[in-house]
Amino acid sequence: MEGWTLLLMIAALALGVFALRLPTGIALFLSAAAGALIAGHGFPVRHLVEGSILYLDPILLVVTSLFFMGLFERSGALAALNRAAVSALGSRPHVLLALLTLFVMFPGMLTGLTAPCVLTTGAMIAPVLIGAGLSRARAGAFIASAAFFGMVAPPVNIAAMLICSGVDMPYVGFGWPLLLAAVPLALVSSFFIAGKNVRGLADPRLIEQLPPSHFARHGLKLYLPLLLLLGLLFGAKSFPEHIPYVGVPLMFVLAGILGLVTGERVRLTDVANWAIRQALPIVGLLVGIGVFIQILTLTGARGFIVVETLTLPPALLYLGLALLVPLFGGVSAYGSSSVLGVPLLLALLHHNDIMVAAAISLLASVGDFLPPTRLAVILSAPVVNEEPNRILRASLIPILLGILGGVAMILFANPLARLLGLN
Amino acid sequence: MIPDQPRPPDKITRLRGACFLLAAGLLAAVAARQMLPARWDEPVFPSRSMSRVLRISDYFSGLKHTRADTEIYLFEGREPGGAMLVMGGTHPNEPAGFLTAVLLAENLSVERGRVFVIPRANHSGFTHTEPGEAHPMSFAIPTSAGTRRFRCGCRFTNPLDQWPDPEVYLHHPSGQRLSGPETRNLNRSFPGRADGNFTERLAFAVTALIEREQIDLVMDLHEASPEYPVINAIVAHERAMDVAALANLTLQAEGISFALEPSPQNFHGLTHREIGDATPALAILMESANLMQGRLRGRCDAGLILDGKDPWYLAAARAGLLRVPYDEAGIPLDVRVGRHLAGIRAITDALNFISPDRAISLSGIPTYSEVQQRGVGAFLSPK
Amino acid sequence: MKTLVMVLSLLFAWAAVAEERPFAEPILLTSCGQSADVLMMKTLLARDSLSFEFLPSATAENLPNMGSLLIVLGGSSKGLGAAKISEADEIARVTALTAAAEAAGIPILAAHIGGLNRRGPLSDPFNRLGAEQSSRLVVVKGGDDDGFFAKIAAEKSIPLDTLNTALDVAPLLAEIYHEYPSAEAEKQE
Repeated sequence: MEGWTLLLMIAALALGVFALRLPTGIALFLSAAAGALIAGHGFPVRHLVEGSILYLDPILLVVTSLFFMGLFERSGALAALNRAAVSALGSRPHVLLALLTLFVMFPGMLTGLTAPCVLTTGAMIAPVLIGAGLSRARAGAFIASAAFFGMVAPPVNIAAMLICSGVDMPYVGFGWPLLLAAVPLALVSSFFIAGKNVRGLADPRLIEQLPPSHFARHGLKLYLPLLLLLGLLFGAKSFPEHIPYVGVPLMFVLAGILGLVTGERVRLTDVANWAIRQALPIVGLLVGIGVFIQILTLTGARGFIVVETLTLPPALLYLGLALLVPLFGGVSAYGSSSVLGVPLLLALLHHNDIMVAAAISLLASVGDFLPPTRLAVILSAPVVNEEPNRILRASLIPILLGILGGVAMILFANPLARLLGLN
Repeated sequence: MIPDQPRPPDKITRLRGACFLLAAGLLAAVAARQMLPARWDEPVFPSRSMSRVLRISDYFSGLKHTRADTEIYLFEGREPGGAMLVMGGTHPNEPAGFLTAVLLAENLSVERGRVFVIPRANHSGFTHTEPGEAHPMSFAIPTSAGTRRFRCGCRFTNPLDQWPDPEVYLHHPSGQRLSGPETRNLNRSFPGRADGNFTERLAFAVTALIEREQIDLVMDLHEASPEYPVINAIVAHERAMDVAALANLTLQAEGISFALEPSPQNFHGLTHREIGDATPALAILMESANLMQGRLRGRCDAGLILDGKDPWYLAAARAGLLRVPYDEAGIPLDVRVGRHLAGIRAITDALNFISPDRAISLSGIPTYSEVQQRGVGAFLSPK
Repeated sequence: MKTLVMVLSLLFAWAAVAEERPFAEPILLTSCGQSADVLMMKTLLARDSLSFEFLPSATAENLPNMGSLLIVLGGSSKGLGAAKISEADEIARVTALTAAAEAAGIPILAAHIGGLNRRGPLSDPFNRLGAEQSSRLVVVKGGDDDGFFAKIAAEKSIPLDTLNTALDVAPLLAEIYHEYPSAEAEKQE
């Protein structure tokens, strides 16, 4: 029965997305409602609503990071920052490309999400990438890829933390394994995606294609919102006794509001409207995912997925890991790591637990590229103004690297752990 | 990147938007009505030998008029002796721990020493359910005088009481790093602090109670999923190990198998570690196996809490994935409550043997086999 | 309470018997897998007049002057990555200890008293090692439902006793130790 429910939910989702061309969020909601009905739960209002707030915190993060970015761009700071980066490092394009990758990854390292990477730092460097000659699809893939690895990179990897809390292990000792899982693969992906366009970064004409800078008029004052944001983020983490933790969304809002007085004149309502408009499809998607997961759980389809994965014959278990963890991650990376990751870790106890948890977090995060949600791709589409599917096709390298890297980390968990001194 | 002013929406778009808003509002209103009963405490009918009802805010006034404040049932014997604290509902999604504490409060009689029973240790956690888990909001137990309904809450403090979560939870005072939501997990917040967050303040109040009342023995009642390694277990602080080992021998002789586990030295915030370290009390935690907490479950209704039967768990058991014996009989709530009660008796007896000057003598607690024969409901008031 | 009285009277009865008979004392009590079951064994031993030394991580250096080695089998599972003992280190320690005991002619008794809770992937490597190296094997029911220990005992021709509960270990130990002369008695001869 649970298997049929799952099948029906997937079929209804496909129907909604491909045949009826509904927004994915709404299709997810409707397929969840259909699944509940067929499984004999009627129209479970409480569960539909409860599921919709599963990702309330990421939703707030998406809306507020867009608000911050909108103000940062309109104040003129973004153009200034881009020009400064290109003119400082344009002569060394490979170093610049590596730095751009790390720059995009940065918000993900602090929040454990792809959304702030794509929507803030990713959006900041998009003009540079396109100016250097990358197609819009490749630029989108570059940003999505760096965001994906940023989500995996330490210090904050929420997928790994969820696995830890599921098996009662402290989130300790993950720094090196996650760095190993994220940074080399991120750089390789970036260079693959950029290809010969790396040279474009050294093209002196690039700087002319970038939007004009208002640096001359406002000076370093332009960067104050970014400094305030970093100050709040690091302050609360470094001195938790003195600086109260207000949550990253409020930090984005406070830093954004500072942008009203540090550069070009901006109307607050314009930017707020714009941010909500940009965020709405993503918010709808996150709401839909939450409802979908709640109903998967309610109907027992979740248990079906987990038990079927775990009872795969040993030879197929690694194949299952390589395919099913990312595929479930396509619904939700967090859901996949918590729901599949925890029992998988318990089933793989002969491997070093930290390496396995880090690897599963990498595999689950690959799901951010995959349907039905394709979160990283959907997010980067408006940033580079391109069709999501084209970006997805250009993202093959990070997807493959993520899966291969994750499986390799599990297969060689023990020697790698010894190498990193984890035992 | 930012386009100019967007086109104003046309009439149809506006109408569609209004319909969506209305539908969302309607859904939210219906859901709110359905969720409201989670705010109301189910009644507990303490046995006649209870001396007083205290509140946790009696030990830390900072919790007065908050959702953390919770009832404590005090049983005082005629003779002086030791003091014991039994905590249920530290995790409100673990029904056997909660129900054992309720059943204890409704049946206990103390001849010597003092016993404190807290059925809803994290009271705030009882007022909501965890999104994504699709847990039932309550379960019903038939008694001779009708059905009694008990809430199934959330492992974490209600976000309405403590929010937002940091990305990484730093435990005080160890500095241990855990995932953000664990900052609302009472059993990761001990010993607590007076100026900390909501959950830390609650942990602080419990620690204060233990110190002020000179508690000798703390028993924290929990459940875990059947695939989790620490299951059907007695977890004891190193100072409590002699008591726990003797109790476990007794339980084994009664045919009730528990795994004896030492409290890990370097895993912080848990009752058995922090209360054992911070106070003179002997700290012990017990775990039974609850399918509703597992990730392998199919069913998600109140029946799963009561009968503990699930086809997917059966398949997992056959594939050797579980840490407890599991067959078609399931792991019913009667078994889990019976195990906790047997554990409480055995541990108290062991304490009495090892520290006779701080002995606590109890009666009225049904035995494991009595609970199996007559069911939990037979021991719930009004009888 | 009734059960506890029964438990304790059993223990005291055993102690009374123990005093009359020569044992291979002192016993070196150690763990193989660091489960807390070794503490139950300590509780069993502590109530009697046998002299023993309790060293959960005993090494060959602790062997001189010991009459026998008692190893309690089973891995610990609380808090993966928290109660971190490296499986490899623990196996190396027990391998060296049992080899040294064998070389010194010190008999090894292995006991698995935790039942089903001490089986499975976390415990079985330790269970196998300790059982294979023992001169005699004691297993409490539930721990050998699948014949894991019976098979090892048959393959290695190790005498195996299967008991109902850990409490039955007490009278059995009295018997077993009676078969060996105590280390001190040996020296006097």
